[in-house]
Amino acid sequence: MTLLADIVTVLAGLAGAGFFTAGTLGLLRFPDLRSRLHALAKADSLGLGFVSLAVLVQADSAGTAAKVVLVWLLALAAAATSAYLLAGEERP
Amino acid sequence: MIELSVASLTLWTGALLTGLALVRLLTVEDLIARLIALNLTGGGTLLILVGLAARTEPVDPVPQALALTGIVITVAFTGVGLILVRAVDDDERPSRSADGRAHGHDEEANA
Amino acid sequence: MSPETTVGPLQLSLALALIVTAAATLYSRHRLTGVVLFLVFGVFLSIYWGVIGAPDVALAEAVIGTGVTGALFGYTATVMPRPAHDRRGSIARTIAGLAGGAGIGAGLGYFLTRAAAAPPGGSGEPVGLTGQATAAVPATGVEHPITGVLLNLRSYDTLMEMVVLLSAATVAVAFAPRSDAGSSTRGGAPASEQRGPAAPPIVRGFVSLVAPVVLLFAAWLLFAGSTQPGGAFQAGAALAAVMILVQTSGVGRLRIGPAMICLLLLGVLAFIAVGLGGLVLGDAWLLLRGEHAGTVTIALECILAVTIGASLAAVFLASAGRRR
Repeated sequence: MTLLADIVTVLAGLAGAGFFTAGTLGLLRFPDLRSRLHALAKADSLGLGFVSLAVLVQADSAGTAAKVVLVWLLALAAAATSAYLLAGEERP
Repeated sequence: MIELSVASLTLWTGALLTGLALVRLLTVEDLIARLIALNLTGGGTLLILVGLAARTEPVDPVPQALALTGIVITVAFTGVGLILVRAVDDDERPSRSADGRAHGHDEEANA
Repeated sequence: MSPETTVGPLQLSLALALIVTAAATLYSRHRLTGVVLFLVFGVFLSIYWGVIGAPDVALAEAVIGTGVTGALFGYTATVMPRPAHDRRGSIARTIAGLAGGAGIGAGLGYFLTRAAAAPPGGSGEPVGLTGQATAAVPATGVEHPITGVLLNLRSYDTLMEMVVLLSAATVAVAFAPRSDAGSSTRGGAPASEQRGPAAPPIVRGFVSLVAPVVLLFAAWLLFAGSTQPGGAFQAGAALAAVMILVQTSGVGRLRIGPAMICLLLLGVLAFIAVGLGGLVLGDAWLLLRGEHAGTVTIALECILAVTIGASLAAVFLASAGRRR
């Protein structure tokens, strides 16, 4: 069981790191504000989800697991709202 | 890896940070950048404080409590600085009153 | 969270990230870039505190240093972008500044590590106050040593810190935007404009989702400070964060009025009352001992958290509320 949990942690962690790298690459290379926001809000949120999954399977109690999920959901909400607000600022 | 203790690393990082931020604090003209530099100087000083605390094995709680106090005081004086910077900027900005003259020239020359 | 005494790649890379981010923040071209990099620096610093083994300071840096200071700077940098007539920094100036700062920092670091490596007592004595603090903490009524030190063993420092916050709040009250004078100074903007634009529905939804969570988190931090990392300062800053969130999103409208001024004064007054209570009950000034020490400490922490929140929110309102 712990071997399976460790495998999931490593794979999810690698996937999360990959998504974060993709998001940062998009931030640096995309031409304008809104495409950069796509990269940040989507890729980084998914990367955070994978990293949370990696931590989740190592959690020792249901309470800790619930807190990790809560952190991810709050980060999602914050990323979405700030992306919306930033996109609204750009003069078309 | 290098044989370095956590306390020494923290002390070196804090010292470098304090040095960098202090030099910038004394040389930059923009007020907001000056406030940020002041904040970073404070952060470096707190790193030095906790670095001294990290010399013992359960990290010494007394310098940690002082660092906590330091963070709150840092935000207090940063807030006051920002209030004053806003007020200075409001006074320097030429007022768009009915007579149309710019009132801010004297203050701008002294900035 | 137990620190390791030798430095591994995690601590080294964090320290390097701190220095690089700080240099980028200090020598950035635009105000907003510097502010955002400052936020990134705050996140790195908070993680570094956590990895070092100072979790209370990590929490405080995350909530206060990154949250409240970030909101203050962010708001100011957004409404005050750098004016065009400022002289652009040259490359030579940047390099000179970095070199000079690194030189001073290296000298300071050398002297500090030399001084820190030689403990003043005999070679067998542990350096620092850990022994005395850990021995005295059970008498304070709380289990967490940082809270015990802050509110009991070194309570005079905390009292003076509340006085510093009160001074900052006094400046905030002095510069508080007057709802009637705001319309007369800047070309007749009607008083109803003070309300700001109505919040878009996504922001209102976000605030109604997040504000109760942060309030609950603040209350939890307050009471968790007795046994785990937490305490009045982090809780107060989380309260201030909620107030700033409500104010900037336009969901609510806070004013620096008589109610807030009462909250600002409450902290120092409560602390002085506790000190005088010690004096009256036969002990010394500000000495908190005995079986009620824990209860008094927690009650005092509640009042302090409310005052800290009100002070930081008042400072934000004063810096953010002036008309353009």
